[in-house]
Amino acid sequence: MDSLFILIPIALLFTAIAVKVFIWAVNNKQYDDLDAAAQSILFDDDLEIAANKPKPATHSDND
Amino acid sequence: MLQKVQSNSVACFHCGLPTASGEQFCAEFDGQQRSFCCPACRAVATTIIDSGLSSFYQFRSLDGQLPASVSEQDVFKAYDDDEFRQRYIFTEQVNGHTIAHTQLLVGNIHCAACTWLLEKYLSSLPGMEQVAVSLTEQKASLRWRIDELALSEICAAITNLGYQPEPYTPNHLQDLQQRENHQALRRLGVAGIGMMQVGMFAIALHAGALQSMEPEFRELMRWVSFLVTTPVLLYSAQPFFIGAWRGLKLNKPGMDVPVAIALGLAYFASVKATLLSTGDVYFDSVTMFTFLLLGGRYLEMRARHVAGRLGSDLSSLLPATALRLRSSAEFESVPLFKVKVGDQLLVKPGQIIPADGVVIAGVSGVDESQMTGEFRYQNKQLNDQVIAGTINGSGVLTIAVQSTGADLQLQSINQLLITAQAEKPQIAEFADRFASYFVVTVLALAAATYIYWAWFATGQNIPSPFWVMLSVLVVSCPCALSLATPAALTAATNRLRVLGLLVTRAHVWERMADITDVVCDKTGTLTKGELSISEIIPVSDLSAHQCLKLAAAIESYSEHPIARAFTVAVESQNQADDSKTEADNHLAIEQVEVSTGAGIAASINGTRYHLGSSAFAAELYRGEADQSVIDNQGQWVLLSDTSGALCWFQLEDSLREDADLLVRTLQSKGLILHLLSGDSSGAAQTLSDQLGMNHCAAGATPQDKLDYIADLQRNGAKVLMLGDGVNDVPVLAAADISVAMANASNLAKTHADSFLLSGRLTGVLTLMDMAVSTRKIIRQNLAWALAYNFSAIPLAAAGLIAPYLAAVGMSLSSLVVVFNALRLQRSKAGDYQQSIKPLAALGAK
Repeated sequence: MDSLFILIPIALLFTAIAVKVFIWAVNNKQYDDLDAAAQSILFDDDLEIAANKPKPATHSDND
Repeated sequence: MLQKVQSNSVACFHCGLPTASGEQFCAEFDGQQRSFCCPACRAVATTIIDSGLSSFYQFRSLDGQLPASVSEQDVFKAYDDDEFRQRYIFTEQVNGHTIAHTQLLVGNIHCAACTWLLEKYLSSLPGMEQVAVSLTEQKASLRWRIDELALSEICAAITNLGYQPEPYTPNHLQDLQQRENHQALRRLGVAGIGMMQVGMFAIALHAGALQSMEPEFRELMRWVSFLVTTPVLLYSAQPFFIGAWRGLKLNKPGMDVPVAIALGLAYFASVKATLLSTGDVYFDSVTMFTFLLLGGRYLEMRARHVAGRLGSDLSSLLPATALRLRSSAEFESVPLFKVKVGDQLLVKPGQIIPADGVVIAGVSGVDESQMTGEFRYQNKQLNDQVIAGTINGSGVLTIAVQSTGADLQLQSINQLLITAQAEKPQIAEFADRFASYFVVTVLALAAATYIYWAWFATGQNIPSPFWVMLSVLVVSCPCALSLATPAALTAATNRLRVLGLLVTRAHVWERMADITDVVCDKTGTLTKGELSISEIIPVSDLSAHQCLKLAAAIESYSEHPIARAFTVAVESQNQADDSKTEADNHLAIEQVEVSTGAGIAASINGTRYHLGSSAFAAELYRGEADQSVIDNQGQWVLLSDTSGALCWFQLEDSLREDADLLVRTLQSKGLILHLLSGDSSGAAQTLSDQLGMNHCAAGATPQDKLDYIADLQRNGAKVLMLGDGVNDVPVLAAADISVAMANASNLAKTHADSFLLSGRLTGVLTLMDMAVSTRKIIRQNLAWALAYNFSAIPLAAAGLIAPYLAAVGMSLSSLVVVFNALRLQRSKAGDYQQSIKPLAALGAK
């Protein structure tokens, strides 16, 4: 049970880190647009963009 | 002989509006034939699909959005102006390139697919470094190499996709909103993380209390809880303390006061218990309470911000650029802010007039419906006044600028609005009114309890007076009471948002049940704001069908909205009787002449025809038009040839599909319906009779409309106003509840209490039902919270409830309130969509 005297401060440290990361994320506008990012996964980014670019962005195929 | 023309056509592949399905606006994509409503839509779709971005059509959420006319791209030349650059574009030198960054407001973004499409397409432009498009802010942030790519080209590219770019002026309000949002999120996050930590320690403490925990561990738990709770109280709960202080200073203690007192006392009692290692700690209650309340407030705030972002200010009604006369016949595109009084501006067909002025050359019809509600084009010629914000019709006008900026007539309407808003009665919310009494009562009770236990109680096992008092305060802590209203409002607001309704002011919920009268605007509200042919009366040997075909052929040379009505009608007829032949389609038309405000003349296969007002048509055969066959209501045009009159056409603004259902349902609820229209023709009365409205007032100016509402209110009526358009704005503000249609101008959106984003009138019914059930839930919640508090307080005052049980009770009562409110989110209230024919579904995928 004495380990609690070490484990609880460690938990507090993690809490502080979590708060820090959260505040960083908010300040970096990570929470400003919650809708678009959720849906962007649905789009096929790999399709050739014929407009102006010679080639689409490089991506590694797992062949 | 009467003929009703029905339009049953295919939806446009790009914008979803019904098409005049013909061969002319079609294209083949992925082996499938797609129809379009106009060349602009086809051009946009071709751009999107040729760029390999066709998945846009699979994932977007569709509501009819017409792209801006593609032909107006040279307008963006003004964006390359030096002064414009200095104002809107920031540059820096990186690796020998000049990197520019700017932000553009992009109109028409309405789903995640739009942001994806814009980002993909724009980042494929040579010279573009970075593109980020925000859906909620409708804003694109761009970084690009300005020596390789001009801003005007970027804007042209955005227009190609069917969106409307506009320079973004850093808006004070938006910045404020973003800061408010970030701060609320940080507070909420800190409270949430703190709550979880303290909650874990609290479980250990409660379990330890039952299983006799060793004192040193109990001390440890209490001290770490103290450590975690302190920042939550000082940082996250700050708004409650500030709010309470403000309330006390104004002598109007609101909900924040008991919240702040409960938080403060529970915290200090816990600190005292921790320091003296006696009694109980309530750190878990403090953090949880803070988190739950902040969560409710955050969701409320978000709904408010989204609503506010929809419209920003008056100036967005105006274009960002104007064509200014440079020398004798040359015009240059300049930013609007450089236009001065006395400048001569060229206004092309379909453009918005950028400044108040007087016509010095050209003749055209101008759509002033934004200002007057009058749908029909106003004829403008030499020396006529034109108003900024109105839309030019088919002709080209040159105007001399008379006023700009703050002196525009548009601004005077805004003034009227401010006055109207100031007159709006302020109703304090029930919970807050009640809280003032509640907080005083609770404080008195707690003090009385303390005094009783400290001095008057006798006998054995007397509990400590301070802990009994704290039990009273904790158990009576108005958590459930203060969550009762916001939780229900949040749930209802979210539910309505999914249904395409935005509610921006809380009084909508309170007042909806008391509404006695519904006042509707006509153009653009009950009607779609587009003309269609409602009756055809041939007066010669030619059949209605032949006349219609002739008229459509002639009108195909006109840009006037009337022309579109003919095209739609003839196409749907062709579809209906399937008798289309090649010969019909190719009538040889020559010598077309348009007389603005009168009609159009043309020769077909050698015969001269006139189509327009009765006087204009009669001119051709030098006679008088026989008006006996028509009634004088609505708008009629006559087709004639040299031998005499051929056919009358009645034009009507077409009614929304659900207008009839709306009127019937509202009347069955016992409401009185009024039609209030700026249109002075007989059309308003006709429409009113057709729908069976109770009252009708036509030809009303904005001031008349205000008076009408004020009269109703003076006689004790509670008025719901349903409208759109700038001239409705003061009226919307004066009504008890205002609802604006989605296609309302930006200004109207900013100032209405609620908006129908779906463009469906039945949304009003949904809103009413939802408001009623929300009020019911709020009352249930308040009743529950009060019942809980009033039964628990005597028990606590009697010393029968241990403080930790009081905290559990308080949390449970809050949860009951929250879950009750969440029922609203699943509510089936106002599901009227089933009863109307759905809009033509889009064949994407």
